[in-house]
Amino acid sequence: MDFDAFYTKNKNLVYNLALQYVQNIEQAQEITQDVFLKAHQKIHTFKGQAKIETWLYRITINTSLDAIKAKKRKKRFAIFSYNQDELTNSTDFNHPGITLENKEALQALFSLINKLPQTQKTALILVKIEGKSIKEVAYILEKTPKAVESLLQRAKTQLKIYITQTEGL
Amino acid sequence: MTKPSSKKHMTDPLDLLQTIKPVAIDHKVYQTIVEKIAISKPIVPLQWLHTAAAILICFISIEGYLLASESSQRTNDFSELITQTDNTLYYE
Repeated sequence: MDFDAFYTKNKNLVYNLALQYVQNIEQAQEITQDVFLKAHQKIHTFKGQAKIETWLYRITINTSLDAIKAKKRKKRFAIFSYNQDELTNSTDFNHPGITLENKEALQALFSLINKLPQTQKTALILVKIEGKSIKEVAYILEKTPKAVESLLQRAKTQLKIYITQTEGL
Repeated sequence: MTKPSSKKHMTDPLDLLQTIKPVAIDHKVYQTIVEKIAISKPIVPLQWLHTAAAILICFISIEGYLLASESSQRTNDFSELITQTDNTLYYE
């Protein structure tokens, strides 16, 4: 398969998954670029055992998490005095897949999801937004279905705690 | 008629996540990726670099081996000189 066809087939899969992680158009586009560059460089290492979609999912998840880490590091060095949560959540939130009526609620929800540990966040995104089954997520994350269920459950419990804390403020 | 239970009508905040719609990426991104791929391509093919590195390593190893064998030969000669103990007096 040539790169043009490969890109056309998978571009929206990568872009939308990156968007769920960073909730920002520019950053998601940058992640998409990085993912396809990595895929182009490493396509020869791809083993036919897994589906190419699963392979791309893994690259996108890792690249998105790396981008988030890099951004946090950059902010920590740049602005010590400002409130980091406020900066990440209010100024950068730009998700084109969200309707205007749900924007405020989802921005608040994402600000809580972003506080979750990476694996819990990933499980939540893949199941709740991408609509993947537990089995599929387990395959992507190379974990057992039980481990994914546990991650999801912990994510939900943690989110409930965050929501109660936010309402209590 | 029974009232609907409040639990049944309580909505899960996570259900909101399912309202997020998939979007299409800007077509300009492809152009940027193609440009980046062109930049990242090395001028000298990677295989050639590997071959050159392998040859260099071979040369260095051979050189090292030759130097080592030469120096051991020298020490052998030297030890031979030392072991040649000659205690005879010529003008006895």
